[in-house]
Amino acid sequence: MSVFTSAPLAAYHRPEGDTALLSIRSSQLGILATDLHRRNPAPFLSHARRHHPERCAALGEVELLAVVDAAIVRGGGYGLTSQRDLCRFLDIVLVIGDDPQREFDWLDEVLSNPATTDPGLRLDRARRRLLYALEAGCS
Amino acid sequence: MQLEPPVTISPTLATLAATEAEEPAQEQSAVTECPHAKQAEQPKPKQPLRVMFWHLDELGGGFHRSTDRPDWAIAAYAELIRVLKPDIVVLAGLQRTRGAVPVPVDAKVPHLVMEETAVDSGVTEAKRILARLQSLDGGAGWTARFVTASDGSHVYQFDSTTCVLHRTDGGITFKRVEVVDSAFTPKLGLTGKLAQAIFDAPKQRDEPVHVVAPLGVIDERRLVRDGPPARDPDTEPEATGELADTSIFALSAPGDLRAGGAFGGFRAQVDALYRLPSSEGSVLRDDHWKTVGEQHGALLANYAAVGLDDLLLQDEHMHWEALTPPSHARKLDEVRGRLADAVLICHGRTTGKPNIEGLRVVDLVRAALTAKLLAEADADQQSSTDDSLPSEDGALADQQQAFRADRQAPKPADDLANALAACRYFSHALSGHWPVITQIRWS
Repeated sequence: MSVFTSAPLAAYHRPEGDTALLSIRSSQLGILATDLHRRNPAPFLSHARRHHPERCAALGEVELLAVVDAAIVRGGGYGLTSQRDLCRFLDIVLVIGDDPQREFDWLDEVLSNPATTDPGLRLDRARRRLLYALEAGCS
Repeated sequence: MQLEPPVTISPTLATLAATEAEEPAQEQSAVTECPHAKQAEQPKPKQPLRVMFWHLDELGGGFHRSTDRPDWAIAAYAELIRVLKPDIVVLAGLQRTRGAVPVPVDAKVPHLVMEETAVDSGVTEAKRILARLQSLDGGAGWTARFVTASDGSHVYQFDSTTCVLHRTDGGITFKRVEVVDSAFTPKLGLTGKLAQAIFDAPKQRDEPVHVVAPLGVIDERRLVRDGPPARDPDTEPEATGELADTSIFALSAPGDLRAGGAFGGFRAQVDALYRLPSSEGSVLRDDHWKTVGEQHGALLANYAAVGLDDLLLQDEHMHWEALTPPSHARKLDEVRGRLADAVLICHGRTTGKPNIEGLRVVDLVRAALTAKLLAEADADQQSSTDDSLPSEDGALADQQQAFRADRQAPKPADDLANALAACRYFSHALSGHWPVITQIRWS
């Protein structure tokens, strides 16, 4: 939900001069957002069914829910908190599957690269690298 | 021109690419908007920006081409640009010619003094194209910008430079050209230096528009014969800027861009927006008998050297019964080639992503065919155009006729294979590389 942003919320502070009642750091906000998304996986399930129907059919309802839940948690770990970013991360999870060959281990490096501070940009780069890697493997 | 070998797209790639292309749905707001709230004014939609890139293969002279291009070639370059209506055109492959020239001497006894010098012959040819374009498309206000040093001299890398033409009637104003350091990857055509032209285009984008291409080109024949060119840090131009995080990036490779994984790695590195690979090539494959002639030096008679556009003559004199008869392209989708030229839309941010409305190789065979021959060769009407980009069909038919007249060669037999061969021959006379054009729109 867009009420959560990655920046600390100034609204939780009292005006200057008063003692702050509550201060929420970005990391805490991320955890709250992840928790909210886990409680309401419907948009992610809908996204998965719309874009990856075959994979969803192969997984079945119960396993799909487990995959979505795991993707939300893992995405939260990479700093992805918005529904949009998590859906895009879920695409990666559904496309590469379990990755038994550990062929896409480098994705973790890209998604947690400290040189890029914006988690959304890290995700964009990870998706592009994956697309180019898949293209090189099939053309 | 169809790629050989053809492109195959795995279902996995297609699925992920489809999700990349789709604009994600707006997230549900936590606050319900008041139905009586005054609607914020929608920003005015931006105009599209059209950019064309063409590697003009030894423009200004080289081992395989003369210093001056014929008038029909200059007319063809200008006509194609006029028809395709780009806002910005990047021309690569402008050579400088090195050699000994006589210099004036102040002496009582007349004598000849020769001096080793370099002539900006490619730049002179580019100015001829500009002059022709200005006369053809007078209202557009075409102008040319070159990469120059502080003293006004032209800047080269491996004896070639890159120039940018742009039209000024649409409110696009040129700011400057910078030299930017890049990787040195000869097989991708990366020379270690980039030319980055910066424009203000307020109708197309609120921020400046950066158009980038390698400074100079890597010659395919030299790369094969001598290996990668040696770099000389003492003579290379100094970098004057840094690569922008959002740019239109053109490149021209000496070989097949698809070979190996370097192109994919490079595209990921420069944050190029992903597009599924197209089936279009930009460099023609050689005809059957030309390949045979180059591979077998002991041929008694090479009729490909007599007339590249007379395939029936070549078959008649060079084919013998024990060989499988060669098949020649009689339809446009049988013309084969490889991908060497590309325009990438790079965007290293999460917001303000440009939308690629069109991106394709300009088909010079289609451009050179007359309407009648085009109807025969393209019976399935597989036009290479899309909605956003103008068609090149038949645009250079007159110039192809001028090329034929200029050669004064015997007229080959009337056959569709010969007609297509003539167009391929003509397109190669313009450049071994076909142009690439794109149209993008920022939101």
